[in-house]
Amino acid sequence: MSKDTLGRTLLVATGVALGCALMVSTTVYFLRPIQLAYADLERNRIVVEAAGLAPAASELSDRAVVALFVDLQVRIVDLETDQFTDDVDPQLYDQRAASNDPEMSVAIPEQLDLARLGSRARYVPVYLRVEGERIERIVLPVHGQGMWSTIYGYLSLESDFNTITGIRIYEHGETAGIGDRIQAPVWQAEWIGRRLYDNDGELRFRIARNATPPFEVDSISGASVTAEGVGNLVRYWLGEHGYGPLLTRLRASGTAAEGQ
Amino acid sequence: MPYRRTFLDPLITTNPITVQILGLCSALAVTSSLLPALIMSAAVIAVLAFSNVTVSLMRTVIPRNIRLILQMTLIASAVIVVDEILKAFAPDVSRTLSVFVGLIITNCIVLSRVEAFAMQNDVRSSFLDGIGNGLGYSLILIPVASVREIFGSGTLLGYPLLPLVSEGGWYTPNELFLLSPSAFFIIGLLIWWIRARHSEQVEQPGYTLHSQEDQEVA
Repeated sequence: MSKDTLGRTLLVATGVALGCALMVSTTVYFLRPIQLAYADLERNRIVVEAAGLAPAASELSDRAVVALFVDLQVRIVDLETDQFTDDVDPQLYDQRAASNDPEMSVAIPEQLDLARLGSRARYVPVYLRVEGERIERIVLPVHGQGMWSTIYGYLSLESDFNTITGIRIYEHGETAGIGDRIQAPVWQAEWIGRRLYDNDGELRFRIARNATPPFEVDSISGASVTAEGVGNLVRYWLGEHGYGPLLTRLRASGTAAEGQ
Repeated sequence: MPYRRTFLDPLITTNPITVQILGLCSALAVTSSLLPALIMSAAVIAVLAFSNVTVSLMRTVIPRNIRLILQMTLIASAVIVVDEILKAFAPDVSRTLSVFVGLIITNCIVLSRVEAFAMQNDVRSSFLDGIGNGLGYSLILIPVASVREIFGSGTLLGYPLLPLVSEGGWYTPNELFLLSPSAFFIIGLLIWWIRARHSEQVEQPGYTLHSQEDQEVA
């Protein structure tokens, strides 16, 4: 058969098109997560640092950040049901926009509003490091009022959902040179190993002068309002209106599988 | 042609840049420092090898009337794959190279090797021809980029080589080397040097002018 018949031409053209399409889409399928992780590199660096997965105070290369971040699962938590949910796409979800959107947020009862937020989003993205079925590490976004501004950060907990493995404050508008010491590595290092709840499940964590382990972290002299703001926002988010019920449930089961 | 020559000839004797004068636009654009030039060289080598091999494998079934569009499809797919890999593993360099990775699709070296060589030759020599031409391209890119980075920024692969005045040294970087025209001069000098050593590459003039005296006699 000649190479140039209509049938042969169509056959070869279709074959080449399909083969090329397959090759390109396979490549994109496998590389997309890495590319997205690079696109959000600075935020991901904070998540990875907060997770306490890298040795403290080391400068992670971009590649190391991406490698660690790709190992984390991002899951959306519905704080109304305290379950993981797939109702919203974590890649597209914007928690900050949702916090002020009446449709997407929930008013915080005044007596519980330690973080002085007024309202918070119903859905929150959290990062999990899962080994097998077990959650080894959970990274929770937290925010709340400091002295002048809203402070944003990530807090990570060990698999007991009680022991702190790291905190990173990544955005605030506190006084330069005073309030911004909440970002000092020395102060954040003090949080590591502190616990949130006592054996009865009561939230005991707080910022205090002359702090005593295992539940307290030292306040910062000269910046006590800001430091206590951080303590209060952590107390709000880890309390009964925040992640408290979710963590209680996870402590009992310890897996990420349920609630899918 | 023996395999050895298929591979070695494109390095100097039929070098795509200095002899065939192809692929110049990317050679000007990506040579302001060495790292992007190295990545670009690797990308071109990979694309050339892939498209030469696939086209050679399919040379007996490719219908002549749609051969160019099929070649372009294969080349474009290879380039997209390379581009995606760079975006995932070398995003900084990928940003520096910007459109020039995508433009490998239109790099005349690739289509010319596919159409002129791989369509007529077996897979093994097509592979060697692709690698050879890619290395020939690199062989020009790398020295040009090295010269431009050393004299334009005082560094090589980002490591300081000439101490800059701004950092207390003695060297004032010559910013002309960072502009594309400098690559023209450097490639021109390279071609001059290569042709001085390989005089068979010197092109004969297409025509000669009659001298004044000849005209008077006529």
